[in-house]
Amino acid sequence: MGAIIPILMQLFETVPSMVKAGLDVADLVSGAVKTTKQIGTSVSPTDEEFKALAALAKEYDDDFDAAVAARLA
Amino acid sequence: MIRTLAIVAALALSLAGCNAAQIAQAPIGQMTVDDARNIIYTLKSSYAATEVVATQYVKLPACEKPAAPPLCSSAPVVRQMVKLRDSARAAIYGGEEVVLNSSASTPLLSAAIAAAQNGYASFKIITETYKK
Repeated sequence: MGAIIPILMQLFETVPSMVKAGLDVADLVSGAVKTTKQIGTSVSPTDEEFKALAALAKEYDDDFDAAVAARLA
Repeated sequence: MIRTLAIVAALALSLAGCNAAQIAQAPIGQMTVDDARNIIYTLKSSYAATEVVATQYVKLPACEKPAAPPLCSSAPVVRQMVKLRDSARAAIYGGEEVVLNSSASTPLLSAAIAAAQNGYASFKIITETYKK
């Protein structure tokens, strides 16, 4: 379970270049979800892992909010 | 780029046999705190991954501009994404709070998980709707 954060980080770094290449976004989302679900089924996550995921999720929440603010300004 | 494409293709193939919905099918009446923790953790991870793709969509050139490229973002779609993202976030973050409170009852856990699953599903659908 502890491996999920680096794997997610690698995934997140890969996705933008895939989008720029014009790949199908539905496939990307589906692949990302399957990856996280596959990893997430093994062991119950610890409190530390929840904290690490919370930090990562907040970072991406902030990125989304900033992009939306710029797009709809 | 070819190397990256190969990695993604290999990842997709390796995941083809994965029963992605398995974790979401824990019997409601028998849900344990561990089940709930697994599900909410997975949902939040999936939500974050989906949000990255949504952000990339939002950052594309505006479709409303003259001579917009084929790969562009539409303002109405962005607004809809924002609404569904906010709903998903509220449901998932709220569900996480319930799940991490170990004294929560099984019905409460189940309700929190169901709300989070529904919230995430809507956000995923709108993100998947966008295609090149």
